Amino acid sequence: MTMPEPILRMASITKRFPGIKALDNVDFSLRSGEIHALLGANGAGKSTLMKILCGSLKPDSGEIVMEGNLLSFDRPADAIAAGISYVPQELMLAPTLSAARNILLGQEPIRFQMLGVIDEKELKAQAQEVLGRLGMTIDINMPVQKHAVSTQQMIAIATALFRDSRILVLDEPTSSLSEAEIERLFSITRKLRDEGHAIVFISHHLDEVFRIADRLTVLRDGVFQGCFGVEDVSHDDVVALMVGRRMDAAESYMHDVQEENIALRVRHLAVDGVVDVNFDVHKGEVVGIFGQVGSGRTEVLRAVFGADRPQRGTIEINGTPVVIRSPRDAIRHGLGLITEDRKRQGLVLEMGIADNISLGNYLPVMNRGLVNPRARSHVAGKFKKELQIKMQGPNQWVKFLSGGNQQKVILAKWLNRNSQILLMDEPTKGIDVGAKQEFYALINTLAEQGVAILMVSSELTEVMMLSDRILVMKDGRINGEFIPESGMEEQILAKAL
Amino acid sequence: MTDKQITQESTTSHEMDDLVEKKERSWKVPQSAGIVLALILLSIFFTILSPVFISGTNIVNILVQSSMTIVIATGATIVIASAGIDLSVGSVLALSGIFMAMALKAEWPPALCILIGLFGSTLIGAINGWMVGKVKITPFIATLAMMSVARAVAYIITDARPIYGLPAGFRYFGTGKIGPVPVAGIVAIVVAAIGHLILERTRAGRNSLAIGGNEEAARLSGVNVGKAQIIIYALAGLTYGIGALIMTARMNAAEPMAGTGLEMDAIAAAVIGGTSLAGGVASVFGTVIGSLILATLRNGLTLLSVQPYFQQLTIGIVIVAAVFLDKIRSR
Repeated sequence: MTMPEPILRMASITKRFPGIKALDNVDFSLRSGEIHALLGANGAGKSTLMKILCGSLKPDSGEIVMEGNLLSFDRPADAIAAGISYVPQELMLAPTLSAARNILLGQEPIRFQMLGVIDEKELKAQAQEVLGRLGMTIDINMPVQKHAVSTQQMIAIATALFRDSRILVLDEPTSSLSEAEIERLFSITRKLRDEGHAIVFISHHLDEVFRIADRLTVLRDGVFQGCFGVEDVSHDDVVALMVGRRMDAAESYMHDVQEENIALRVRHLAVDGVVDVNFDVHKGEVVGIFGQVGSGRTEVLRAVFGADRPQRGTIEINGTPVVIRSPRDAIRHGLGLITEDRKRQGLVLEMGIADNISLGNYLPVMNRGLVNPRARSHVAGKFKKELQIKMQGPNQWVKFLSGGNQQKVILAKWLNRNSQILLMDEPTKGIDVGAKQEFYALINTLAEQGVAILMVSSELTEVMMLSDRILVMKDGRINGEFIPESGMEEQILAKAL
Repeated sequence: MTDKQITQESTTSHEMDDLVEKKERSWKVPQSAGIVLALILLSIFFTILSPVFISGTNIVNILVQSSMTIVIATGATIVIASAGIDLSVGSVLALSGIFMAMALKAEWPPALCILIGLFGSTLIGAINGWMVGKVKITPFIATLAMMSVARAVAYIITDARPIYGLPAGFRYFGTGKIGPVPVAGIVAIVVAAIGHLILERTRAGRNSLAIGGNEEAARLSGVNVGKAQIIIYALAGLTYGIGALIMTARMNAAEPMAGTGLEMDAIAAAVIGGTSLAGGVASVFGTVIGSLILATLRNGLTLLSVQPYFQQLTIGIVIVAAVFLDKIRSR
């Protein structure tokens, strides 16, 4: 049910920031009753364009026209009033308030106008009604932080629905969802589309985009690359437009695995969320852990690293049993952990690159008891070259780096410690296509140098491409072990579900 | 449609990273330029209203009055950098002064007495750090408790009576001068310089900033957070001891009620100077300027015969204004 007339047109939008032109005469049109994907690498301008649409930013030039009316937003509330709702990747919900409270936040039904007392019964009824439209029955009284992430997402969408928004912008909605949850999200999105809403879908996952979207728009470096119907364009075409060149077909990375050298041996590991896990990782081997969100993958890595205390289990490193009770113990034994959430656990955002690389490891750059700034900058420079980190200077706050470069800084931190066993949790999450390729090459190089790598990933193609062996986790156990060959995708997926 | 109060800015969206919305300079440490300017303007303001402000004696006065604040605020800065807070400043200072005075009265060599005072305050600081770092009590509660305990101990061991009449040589630290420069001022500058060095160039200082910036990331990177906290609060304790030295020498007495409320000055000086209470961003230089601003305000208002309570009001307003301006600047 697509109307040919666009409900929204953003025309010739230009936005500059000090030093760069984020958007250069970008056009974007949206029809009611469609799901329109917005694609582009990190820094391509998707997020800037949406921030302008949702009232967080003002364009330098260009216009926004909605249903024939020229619009100008001074703040997000104006966009919301115009019927545009933004559901960010990080879900702006009040974690301790109930679902009902969140959905009606700011528009609670009031009794006794003067006193401002909230009409609880009416609040709950209205919340139920909206959730019902989405086909959801959940506990609306529980604080939302206790709900699963996928449910929280539904609540965020319900909030937008309650405001009667004609246009919904979903920013990377699937990044923390399992396959089943993604399917539920998609069916709800399709329902909303069929009811006439216009939905902007921002995602890095091309296969999902091709599943759900009607049309797609590609941006690259702030420049509009084209708007296409999803049937009219191929996967590779889109990637070529996003990156500016054709990517080589994904090949498998191969390297020698030292069969005799078991770098890490884990037996009977048990922790909250992990029942009984046994595996080995050899020197020079990349072992991929694949599984749904919640299958225990992150918990395994954290337990091995000492970030959480395991309830049971033995760990042997290079043949010697070790006791790991804290990250410091793990580091002493040559382990390194790249966490899933780099901003909350991997980096001190308001600190320089050099400082983050040297975090907790100042001895090499100290001279007579004091940190030598030149030595520290030298270390940063060394990794900048080695890992191709794009930075403005060694003291630039990592907050200002792109996701891919931030991840490289974290990797540099462990390389600086000469870690021989690297634990990686979703290392390429939220990184653009080009940086991902660089990361894959880096992982492969490290494996060639003899580093043992244990990598958690929810992208099957990635896991298959990089791993020498794949462990599939389900419900806290290892459900299957594979040596990846093409065609195995379904078998592997089956073991995970 | 009703106006919603939620701003939907997702500043943590990974896609914003590439775009440097804030201007270049904001990736450097707090803007000290602003507060230096404020200090200058303030001084000009007071000079116009009361020309005696700018006289040599008065300036020296201000420096002396600010030296104690500078010393203790330096310690507070290191603590606040770790996203912590220390409410026990005043009590520890009083107790430290009492230790020193008691030892002096017992006619022990002055150097030893000073060391006893410093050792005492450092030890108490370490206990604070232990509570925060190992027992994992929030800094606010831990140091609040210490504030009460230390104050109580001060009253108990002095039987609530001040200790007067300390040896003449000791007073040198409070009122002595080398040439025109007050000794207290030199001590303050030395402490600030060392504090700056600690924060910028030692493991303890970098760890403090890392813990304040993101404690979990620091822990997962191998920082011994518990041990670091002990060191951080112990260093702060040491500065309180030095502050006690200056105060006790100036007043030629140690009293159990000394230093009440001093923690507010220390924190105010740090905050005005640009150190963030959320941790991760700190500047000792800023703290020095902050201390000078506080001292200038008090001095100037006194010269203008403003009543003490109005002084307090003014200072309160200045603190809020400083933080407010800082928030605007960093947008």
